[in-house]
Amino acid sequence: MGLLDGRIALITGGSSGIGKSIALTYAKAGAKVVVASRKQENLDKVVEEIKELGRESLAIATDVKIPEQVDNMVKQTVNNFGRLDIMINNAGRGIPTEPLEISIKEWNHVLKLNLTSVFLGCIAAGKVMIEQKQGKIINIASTAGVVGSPGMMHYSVAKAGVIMLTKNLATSWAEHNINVNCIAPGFTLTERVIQWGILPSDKNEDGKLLPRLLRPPIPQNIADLALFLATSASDQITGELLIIRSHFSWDR
Amino acid sequence: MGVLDGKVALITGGSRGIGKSIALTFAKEGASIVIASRTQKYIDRVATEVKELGRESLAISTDVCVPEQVDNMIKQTVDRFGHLDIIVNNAGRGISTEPIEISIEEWNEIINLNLTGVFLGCIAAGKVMIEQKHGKIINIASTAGVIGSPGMLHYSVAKAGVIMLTKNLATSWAEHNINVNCIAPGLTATKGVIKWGILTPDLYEEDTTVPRLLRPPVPENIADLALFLASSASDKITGELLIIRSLFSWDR
Repeated sequence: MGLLDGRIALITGGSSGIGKSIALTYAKAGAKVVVASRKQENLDKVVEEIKELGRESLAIATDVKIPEQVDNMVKQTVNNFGRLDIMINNAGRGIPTEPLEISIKEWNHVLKLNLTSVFLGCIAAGKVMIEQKQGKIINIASTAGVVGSPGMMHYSVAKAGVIMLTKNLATSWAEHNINVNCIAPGFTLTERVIQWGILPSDKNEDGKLLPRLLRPPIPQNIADLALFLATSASDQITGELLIIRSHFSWDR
Repeated sequence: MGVLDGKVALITGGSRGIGKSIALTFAKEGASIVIASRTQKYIDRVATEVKELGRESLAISTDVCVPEQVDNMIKQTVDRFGHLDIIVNNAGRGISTEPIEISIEEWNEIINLNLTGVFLGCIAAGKVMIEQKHGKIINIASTAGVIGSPGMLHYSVAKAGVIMLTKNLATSWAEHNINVNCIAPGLTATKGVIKWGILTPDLYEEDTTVPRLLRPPVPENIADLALFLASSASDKITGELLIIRSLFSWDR
């Protein structure tokens, strides 16, 4: 008996990193999982893994910056599964650029990808959830939107916007039994981050593994928190910001 | 198989309200439960309920404002169970007094009970947990300590102190694998609050039609959040403040 038995969940940016981890965690908890991101072939791999867990899954190639594609993503979900219980707006990415070097083009792009996309996802899902009179929306922000990130100014501004979007929609939609919360992960050890190579050491000077709270979270840690927010255990939590960064010093 | 199988949890202020709900919720998940508050017969009742759930339980009459009694509470727990995995510093209470009416005696009493009591519990438990090289400390603050409570100035100051105590100890003890977090409940529909008469029945009755997010939380909702913080699902969360208030307008 899984905590999400019979639930329909949609995760954007679901083909890698935190999004993929959330998708698999929800599937293990009994949910039917829709994953969306730009590349069909990357999504198809995740769908395979979910089906191997014995759950239903659907991949919808979507550019979350485009309103019509976001609407289509939600529409296809409801056409296939009858409803949408949990929406995870996770798609997003930062670009490291010093403030004076940020072109207007790059500014607009980062805001569209990280903030407007979340707005579009919330509204499209919200319309369905208002009809259903229930739903849970979980937006993935970042500690960059809490403490700032001078080397990624546009990204941190967008993420701060996601936090405010969350609070406002929670207020607007409480009467419809829709919970809206956001998670702010700190620096997380995803495959992409590991590939970048800017990794902190996970050992102290004596070569011993650092205590877990002094090492950054991994995607599974974020997924465990996202699971809590998706289940009925968090039914009375809305409009809140939940930060997960262990005590990793880059985020404080 | 409970998520707290084999764990030993100590809850102060465990004889009623949020504390009692946390004690029973942890027991249902497999923990052995130590309950502390001032009056033996009240905590004995909760210990009986825990034993009826098939778990071991110990009731230790304790005034959390008295250092020797807090030390004794911890010592008895470790003597009986061998270890202490989770402490919930929940004991506390507010008094409604206008600022200029607060006597120095009342100020000291409220700060002692709501802040110093938590400090004493954290330090006593911390010493044991540092030896064990693991532990989870959950402090129960309040939204009064987040947004203030003009009619309970001393209480809200004490609760703000609890939040800062939490953040500092999380930093100090991360290297020892000790998670320290706090929960800030908004006004909660406990039996005591319902008896006060400040809530209209539609805000707490079972058959109400008021949407759940527009009603205050009940103790079980706080307990569900405390369970998440006590379990391994939150191993990477430390130094954080988790607010639970639904959208109940008195808390915003």
